[in-house]
Amino acid sequence: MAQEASSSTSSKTISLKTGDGEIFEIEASAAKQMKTVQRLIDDLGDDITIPLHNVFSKELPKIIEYYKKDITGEITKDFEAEFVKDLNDDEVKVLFLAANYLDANKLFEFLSQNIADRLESKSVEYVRKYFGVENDFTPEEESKLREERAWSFRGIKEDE
Amino acid sequence: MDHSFPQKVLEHLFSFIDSNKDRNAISLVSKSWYEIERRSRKKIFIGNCYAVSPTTVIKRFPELRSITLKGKPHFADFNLVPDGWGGYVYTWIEAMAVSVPLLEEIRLKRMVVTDESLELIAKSFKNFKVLVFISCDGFSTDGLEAIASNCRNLKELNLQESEVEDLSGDWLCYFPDSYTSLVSLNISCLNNEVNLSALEALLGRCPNLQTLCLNHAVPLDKLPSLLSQCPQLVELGTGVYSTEEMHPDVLSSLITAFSGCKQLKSLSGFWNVLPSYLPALYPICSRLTSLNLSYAIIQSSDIVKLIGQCPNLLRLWVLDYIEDVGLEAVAASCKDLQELRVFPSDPSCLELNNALTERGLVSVSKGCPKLQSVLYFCRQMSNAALSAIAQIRPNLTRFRLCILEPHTPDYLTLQPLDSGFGAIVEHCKDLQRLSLSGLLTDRVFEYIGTHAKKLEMLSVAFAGDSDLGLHYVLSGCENLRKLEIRDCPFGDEALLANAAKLETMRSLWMSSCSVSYGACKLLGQKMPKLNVEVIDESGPPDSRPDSCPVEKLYIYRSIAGPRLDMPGFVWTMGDDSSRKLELDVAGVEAQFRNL
Repeated sequence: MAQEASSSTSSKTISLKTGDGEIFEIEASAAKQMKTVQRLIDDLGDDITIPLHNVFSKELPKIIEYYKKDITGEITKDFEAEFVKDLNDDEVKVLFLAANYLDANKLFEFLSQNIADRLESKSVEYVRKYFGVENDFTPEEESKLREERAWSFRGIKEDE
Repeated sequence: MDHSFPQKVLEHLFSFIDSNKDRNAISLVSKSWYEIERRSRKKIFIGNCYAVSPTTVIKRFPELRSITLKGKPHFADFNLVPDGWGGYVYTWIEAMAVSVPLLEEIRLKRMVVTDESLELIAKSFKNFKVLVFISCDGFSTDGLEAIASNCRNLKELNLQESEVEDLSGDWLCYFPDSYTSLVSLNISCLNNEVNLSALEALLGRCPNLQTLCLNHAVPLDKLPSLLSQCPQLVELGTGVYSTEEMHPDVLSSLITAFSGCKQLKSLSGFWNVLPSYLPALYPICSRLTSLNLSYAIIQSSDIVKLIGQCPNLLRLWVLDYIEDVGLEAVAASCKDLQELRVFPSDPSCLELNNALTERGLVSVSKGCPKLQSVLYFCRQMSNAALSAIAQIRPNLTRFRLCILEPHTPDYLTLQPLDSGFGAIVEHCKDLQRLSLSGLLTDRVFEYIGTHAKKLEMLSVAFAGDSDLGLHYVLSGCENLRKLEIRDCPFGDEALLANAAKLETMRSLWMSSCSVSYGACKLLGQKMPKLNVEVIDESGPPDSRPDSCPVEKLYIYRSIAGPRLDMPGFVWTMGDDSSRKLELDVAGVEAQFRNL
């Protein structure tokens, strides 16, 4: 469907439907920042409710909140710190994957850094649990790698 | 929702994970993580160049851009490691020249570098950026010519405390006129004059220069013109800081030059100080965070005047000319001080120095709440002082005390200093590095084994009574990684009883102790993953009874097996290949006898 040249695209809102059936509104200019959404708009038109099968009602509002700030140029370090302050590790993870699915680059980069920060100085076991990854090393393989790690590549505080 | 992380997402996430420690952790999560991590790792740190082979490293991390390698044991700094022991970097450079052409950074500590290595670096790595050689040796200014000529993208050249054969000061001329990317230059270790006009031109065309450490051969009257080329400097090492006679015009040009350096935070150099030139520094003192006067022969009163204007100092290195009175001034002025090092001006002098005593260290400990790191050379100490320091400064993480005369007791009570050091390890719960000195019995090691749970590095000299001392340390210090011992009555028992501990440590050095050759052989056989190196310049230990003590012993864990570059005075114990050779020879001999 051909789009009319709009004199005020910024006031246009897009309807997004989450995987669990809820509908949220977002400014068209914010939607533009999420490439997946924009592609769907280009294919389906901007009057149709855009279905987002892989994003749910828990996280979409947070994402919309981020991009609302982005289009008004108000994203500051303080805002970003506040944005993640009360999120637990799982919530950040879900947001991160959603940002990836939506191809929302700025949010994705920010959350990548945040997750990297949360992983700082964490143990192997913690990282496995956090990402839900199973350890598929045999005990011998793991032991050998741990040895290699400790003996070859580990620094001590004095090295810093 | 699908919670799995696609490879591209993980790769991207890993690009935000930079530290060695975290990279090492994620590499162990799973097989696919291991693969993704190793293919994206850019920086590697290797604490012992003999713990792993270059081939293993390069095979595992094909996208390497930055490597840090440490070679000789720390006691090499005190001339305890004979020349020719090892630590050659050439095999690493050779391997990387072939397989890692995009390498950008090489950082070495206590390694032997040759001009061939430098030439190979210069021609193999097109995008080479950082060369740092701390306490290295084996190369000359010819090698530097190759670097200067070829490394168009070089940002850092740092030769800190290295021994360089200084054949000519013209190597600096080999930086082409088109070369402008220098950010950091440290040539403080060079002995002879460098070509000053080439240096000045270089400084003038490198707008991003932040660090410049000159050598003592750069005369003071040249400093203002050099500084005018790089007023944006953050760190400066002066050359000699005096002229034969005081010249007022030199002073005024210095004042102008220093005032123009608005970003200067760190100063060093100061060979031969003429105090009349010190006021040139006053305008920038308030910005200084680091001051290294460890070559400066100046009186306490002059140091005090300078330091009184440096309220923001975080780091101070100074000679014992500062005296207790100067340290009191530090305690009063430098409330943010984190690190203090006081070096001996005349280590061989046996007279007691009444001007620099334990009182200076106590003052600084009391006055500087953020003090974490101490290196202190002195001639007297007391348990009371150590105890006071420990209680008032439990946040100390590095404490190295060097009482110059071995076996010096508490000067007040004439007792050993066991309880003083005991207080240090008991109160400073995060202590990660400790050097002991003075009269010490096995008791101090009991305290260390009991309390020093975070200790990673321990240096011991002329201390202890028996094997029990060594046993306390090896069995008690859970986080111990580096242990270096000289001239202590430690023998076979403790070492053999704690053999397994040695695989949890990076290295153990023992020289002039009582470890027998037989015990070394046994250890080498028992622990095949350790390289047990006997260093003995008096001839093959085989030619003496097994009960004879070895001169020096260096034990380190390695996944690379025994090294192949040992000189004639180093033997690796329990080396299967040599044993096999012996058996083969014996077999042939037996056959011969049967003919």
